[in-house]
Amino acid sequence: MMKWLTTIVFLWGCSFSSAQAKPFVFACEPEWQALAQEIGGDQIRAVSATHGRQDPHFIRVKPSLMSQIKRADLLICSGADLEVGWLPLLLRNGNKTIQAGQPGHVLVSDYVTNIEIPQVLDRSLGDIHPDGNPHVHLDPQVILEIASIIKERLASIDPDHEKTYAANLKKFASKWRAATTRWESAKASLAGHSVVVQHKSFSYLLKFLGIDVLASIEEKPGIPPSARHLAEIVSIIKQNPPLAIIRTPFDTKASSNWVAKKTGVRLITLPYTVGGLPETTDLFKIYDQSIELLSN
Amino acid sequence: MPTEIYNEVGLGLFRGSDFPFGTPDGQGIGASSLFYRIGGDVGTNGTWRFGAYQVDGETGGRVTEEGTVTFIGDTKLTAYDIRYTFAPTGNERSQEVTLTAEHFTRSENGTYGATGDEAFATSAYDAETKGWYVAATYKWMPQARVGVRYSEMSNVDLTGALDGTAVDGAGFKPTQLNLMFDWTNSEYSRIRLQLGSEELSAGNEDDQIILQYLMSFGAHGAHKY
Repeated sequence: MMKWLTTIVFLWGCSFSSAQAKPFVFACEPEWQALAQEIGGDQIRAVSATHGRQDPHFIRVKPSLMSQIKRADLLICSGADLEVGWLPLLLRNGNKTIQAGQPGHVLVSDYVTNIEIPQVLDRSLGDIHPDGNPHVHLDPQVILEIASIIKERLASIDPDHEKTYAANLKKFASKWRAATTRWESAKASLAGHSVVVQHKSFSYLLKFLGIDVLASIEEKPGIPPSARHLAEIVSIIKQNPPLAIIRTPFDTKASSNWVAKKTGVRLITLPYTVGGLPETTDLFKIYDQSIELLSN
Repeated sequence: MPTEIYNEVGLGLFRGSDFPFGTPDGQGIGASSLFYRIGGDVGTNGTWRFGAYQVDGETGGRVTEEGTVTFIGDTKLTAYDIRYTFAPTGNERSQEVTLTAEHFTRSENGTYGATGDEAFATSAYDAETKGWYVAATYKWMPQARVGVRYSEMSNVDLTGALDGTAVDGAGFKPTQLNLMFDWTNSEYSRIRLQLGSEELSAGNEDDQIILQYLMSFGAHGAHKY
């Protein structure tokens, strides 16, 4: 028993030795990790619970996340129940500063206006989000708004580097505004077109670009489509050919492949987030690549 | 991203009035427990976790076998478990391999005695019983999984006064092998076919085919409506 106890105390001690003074940002998704890094630069350490090829709706709480959440100074997640399957469990293991209501707890959906808020809530409708569409990072305006909030929170955690955070924000915001203007000019050729989506992952981007959603391969969110529904999609597409069928890197491929083959419509995997495609190395590239892929 | 190691340690002190202990010997604390868990990542899409647990206590009289067999003395249970999971794309909902194994040891030091039909005189006992299993499951699409599990126990082989009594396992090794296939139709329902082959006592081989339909009702953490 004594030998055991000694070993445990020793190992436990080791786990604390990695503690760092830099503000530690725990993001639920890679887009928020990337944004925190834009504002924090070298002064912070940021991690993401999910990577770009993982569906953020469904991950399992794993030991490394339990370890990271305990040390987090700032939590940034999309919210609107996107992470409802795993974040509550993680938060139970997190420290006080990142709990709901604390300055270290940022759910992006609490600060922006979500679209597609359902009128009716019923389990028979699939995995619907009562607070609206949570894929908010695909609205360029949201990125800009959250960048300021991140700057403000980092400055309160680490007042010594407030000037650095303010300068980084200023630099990022002007670059982002210029990029937004560039993306808006792409609207001219894309607006008015329609696409078929797999899941409602791109609603904010499509709204920004003025692209209509012709149909959704998923009849109900989170539930695989029925054969009858797929047949309907094929007939809708034949009557009114869309620009493309779009999906995320983590969507199941079988149904969209089948519809594309049946109709001959172009199938595009958009990056969705940072790390979604091999070349998607920052937030700007999510938009650049998506617009380029849609315009080709 | 550097590897993050998760550590957790726990200690418990309690009365120890339930199995595997029994009527406490005197007042106060009769048992203690200690656990340790450690885990981390293997690459981007794999995780591992190891756990160790020990519970230690004494009893002034634990009665089993329908009130005929009495144990007095110290009992220590030690368990280790290890788990490894790997999801090829990071999305375990679509595809995943899991490997799990556990090992248990029960060591008892005291006396055993019995009354009734199989009565024997109270005699000294100091022995260990061990058991373990290994299991693997493979999910190749969101709805379908296959799995296999093998379990085994090693029994005590007593000599002296307790030889041949109800507490003598005579060194027999009970074994069990299971194969399973399940289909998860929706969040609410799952159908499972399980094939089992076991020998829980010498010469009693039992082959089983089990078909289960599992259904869940109501709201849960991720679906509050």
